[in-house]
Amino acid sequence: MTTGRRRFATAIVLALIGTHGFELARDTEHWPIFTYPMYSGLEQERAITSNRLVGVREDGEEVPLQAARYLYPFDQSRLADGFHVMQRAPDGRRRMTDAARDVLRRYEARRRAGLHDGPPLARIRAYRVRHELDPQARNFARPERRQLLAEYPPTGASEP
Amino acid sequence: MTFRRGWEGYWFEAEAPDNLGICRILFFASLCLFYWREDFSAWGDVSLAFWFPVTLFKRLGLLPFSVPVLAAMTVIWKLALAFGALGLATRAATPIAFVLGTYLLGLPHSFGKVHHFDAVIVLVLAILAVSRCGAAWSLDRLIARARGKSKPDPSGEYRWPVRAVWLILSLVFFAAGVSKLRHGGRAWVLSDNMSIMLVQHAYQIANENPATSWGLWVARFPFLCKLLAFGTILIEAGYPLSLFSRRARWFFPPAMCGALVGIRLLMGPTFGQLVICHLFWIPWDRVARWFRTDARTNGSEHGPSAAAPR
Repeated sequence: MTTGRRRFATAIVLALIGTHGFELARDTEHWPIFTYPMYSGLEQERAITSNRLVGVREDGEEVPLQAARYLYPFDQSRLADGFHVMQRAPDGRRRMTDAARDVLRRYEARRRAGLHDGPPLARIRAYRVRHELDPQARNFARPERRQLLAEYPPTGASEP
Repeated sequence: MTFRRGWEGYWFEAEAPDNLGICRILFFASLCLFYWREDFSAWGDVSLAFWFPVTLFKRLGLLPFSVPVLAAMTVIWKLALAFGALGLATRAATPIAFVLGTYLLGLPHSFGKVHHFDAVIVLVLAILAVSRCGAAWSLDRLIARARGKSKPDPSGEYRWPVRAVWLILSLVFFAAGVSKLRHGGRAWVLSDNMSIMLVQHAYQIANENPATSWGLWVARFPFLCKLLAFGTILIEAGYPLSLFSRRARWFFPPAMCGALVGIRLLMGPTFGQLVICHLFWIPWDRVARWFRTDARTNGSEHGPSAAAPR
């Protein structure tokens, strides 16, 4: 192994230690260097608040859209957290409406292409929901509180 | 002087290229299988309303490419992974796998949520891209042999990349352990924290739902939850000991793989990529030697004696 290659490899090793150490010391993350803080917070309340997407059929009935085949290429947590991030953005309201429209467009396109077996939907709604924890999660479909974050198309309007 | 000698020995002691070569095959082949059905092109069709780029993408001004371009990049990336596994044009395939992998794997994280399961893959691809991992157990080697080139001598070139992967995994899990102690403190173990988290995950909040309902069962037993929490921090914070102790290597990496499987079963999140990276902890050259010796022993016990003239 040449001296140059040895120095190069040493630099890589030191860079790995340095970047990870830096992020750890500052408690920050810059993909792909992480401090892996998931699940590090202390959960003290027997409740959970999260974002949920539901589809609305022509007859007005809401259907949950948790399955990845309905949300593709998103998974349920990426989409839910995406709405949470948009909510905090300065142009959050516009973004969330655009996002709901985007989800509805892709859902319907994939349904028509036979890529999932979900029902036809008239609109999409995003909610912020809160559940008091049940030991068996029996109240999953009945959150104690829910707040409408976005809807597309808005109630009263039809899909353009 | 002693530190320097220790450092040099740890990273660059001469080693045959076999272990790194087998690690390369298994790592790239596992990635090929893992991502075989993954189609990154769909991200080209997602509204930019979701677009919150990770810092790397923001700094480089990267945006999602169109669907056809992403589809082509996906195909080239998978081909690079396959070439990496075969060890064909390895010096070109591994950097391509790294560059395209960085973009394709980073892209979904720029749409609203950064998941933590595949960042390690990018770092390992980077290490392999600058290593000499195609020097053995590769088609490149067979081609070189056909041209009359002899097998490369043992070198530090074949040792440091494997150890760098160990280092990455150690930094990752140590950081995870420290984060829990920093943000949760002792209460992360001693309070109802774990029990609450297990029940929360039954409300479908992770990228995948729990593979079993065992989490809800475990959550009913406070002592079991505290034990689980203690074990998690112990395995994560103690993981770097594996860098220096052979005994620790027998405990922490397998225990961590068990923990990652446990997370999938009880809570849902998928960390398959981190399990794949654990392949680097196994001394494959010794495993291969053991198989060869075993085959030879079996051969001498059964083959020759059975065929021996009476």
